Amino acid sequence: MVHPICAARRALTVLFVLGAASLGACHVVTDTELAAIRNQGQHKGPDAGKILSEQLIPYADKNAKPASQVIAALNSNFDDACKQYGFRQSTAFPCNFWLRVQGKVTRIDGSSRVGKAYVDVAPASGGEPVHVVLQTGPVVVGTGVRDGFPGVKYSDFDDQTRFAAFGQELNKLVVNRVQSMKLKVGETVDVAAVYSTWSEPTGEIRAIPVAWK
Amino acid sequence: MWKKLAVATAVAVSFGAAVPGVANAAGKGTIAILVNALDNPYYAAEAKGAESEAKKLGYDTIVLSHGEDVNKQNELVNLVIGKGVKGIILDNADSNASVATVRTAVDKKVPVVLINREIPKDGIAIAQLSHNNLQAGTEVAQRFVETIGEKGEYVELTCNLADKNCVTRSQAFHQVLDQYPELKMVARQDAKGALLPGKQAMDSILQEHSKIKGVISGNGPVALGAIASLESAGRKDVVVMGIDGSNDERDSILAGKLKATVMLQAQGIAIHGVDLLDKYIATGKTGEQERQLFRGILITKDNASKVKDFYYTK
Repeated sequence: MVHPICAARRALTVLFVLGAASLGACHVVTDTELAAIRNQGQHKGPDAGKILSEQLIPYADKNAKPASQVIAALNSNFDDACKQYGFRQSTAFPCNFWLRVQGKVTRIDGSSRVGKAYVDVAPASGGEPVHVVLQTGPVVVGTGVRDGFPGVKYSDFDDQTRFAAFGQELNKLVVNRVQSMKLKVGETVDVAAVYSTWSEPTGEIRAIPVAWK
Repeated sequence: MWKKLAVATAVAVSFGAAVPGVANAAGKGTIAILVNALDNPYYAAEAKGAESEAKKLGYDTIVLSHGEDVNKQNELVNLVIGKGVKGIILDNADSNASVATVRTAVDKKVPVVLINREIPKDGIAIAQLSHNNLQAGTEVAQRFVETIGEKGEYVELTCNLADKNCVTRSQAFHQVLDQYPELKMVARQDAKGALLPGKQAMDSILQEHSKIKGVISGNGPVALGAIASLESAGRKDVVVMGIDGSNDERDSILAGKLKATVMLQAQGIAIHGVDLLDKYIATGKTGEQERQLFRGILITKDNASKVKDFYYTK
């Protein structure tokens, strides 16, 4: 398929019909070239697999803070906790917290496609354990993996659809990893997981596990 | 010819009202605010937000609507440029076709801030502020699944597939819903973004699909149209959700009819657009990234009372 590119397509069509077509003001391009012309000035965005393995997992591992500490701060004041422990690209996004989730799996819930593994995390200072729910897929809710990493910004894509596809790709990759692990009750886990929220938590702390020890 | 005259007259009248005599000489000049249709609550809220912020900052304003007509938009942009406006806040008529319109203004040294709809080119408008339609769509879709369950039949009524924002919202719905293989979309129809086509679409869909559990809609008026149809068919059991967050949707949620929507921050986006324009006029730059997203806020019965004119009070 080829496409004529010119300023006055209608006029050209008339000339063509009359058998007196002149391509002087036009040139013919292929589909690939047309796509390139249309995409001029737009960004393609980075490669999800490469970003995850080379940058995002190391970032998560390095920046995750003990879950009990972060959750205590969040329960006290969302804005302060976001400043101290969180990352958000702008107010268009929730605040994302990297939690170090170390503890025992107490329950696995596979009744929904949003699979869950409940983990009890004991605070370093002692006291009651805090409960974190690791999302185990196959459906993962939210785009915290993408949005919790400062190395990727919306402006790298300049297109909501491509930005979303990138987030989905990251989710797929982390779901593949957690599903291959087949977590069981009683198992001990140590993982950096991202928790995204707009405000103080009101229900379960549902985090997406990313960087496993 | 008559159309041009009418537009010119409208602008002259608006200028007359907004700028009596040469009163703007004492202030910071005039900002033009161009939106789609002022009788639509969403666009009216955009205009209201932009106008009040501009006045607060010392500008006179002129508010006009292009009615989603690209030619009329071009005429209005050229007219306000001719009138010497300091800048333009534009919710454009068509993403692709508006590239040239924005370029025209910029070539005449009139900065343009785009709100709501982006254009597919960087570096022409000084800012492009849009709603995070994907976040809005995925949040409402997730709530939809949680409400109707992971199995069963549902319907999608898109708002207007000629509008890129509506396409993005539909994509967002399916990013979530298509991950549930036992959730079946039995009908999908474009309801042109309005209440009556929404009702008509739902009327005909109900004839064929009586087992549906839910309807997910690309915007608020379509969702309200679906509710009107379902009510007249005695189907109060069907869950309806949408996106927009108008006062009508808020009232429907409070009445227990609409189950959820996402409020787009129409006033917030417009206010920020004027702030950036003011900064650019004063310093030659905005100091911020050209493309920015604004969050949609999930509205349910719990927080619906905080919605007013597309503004969310904390």
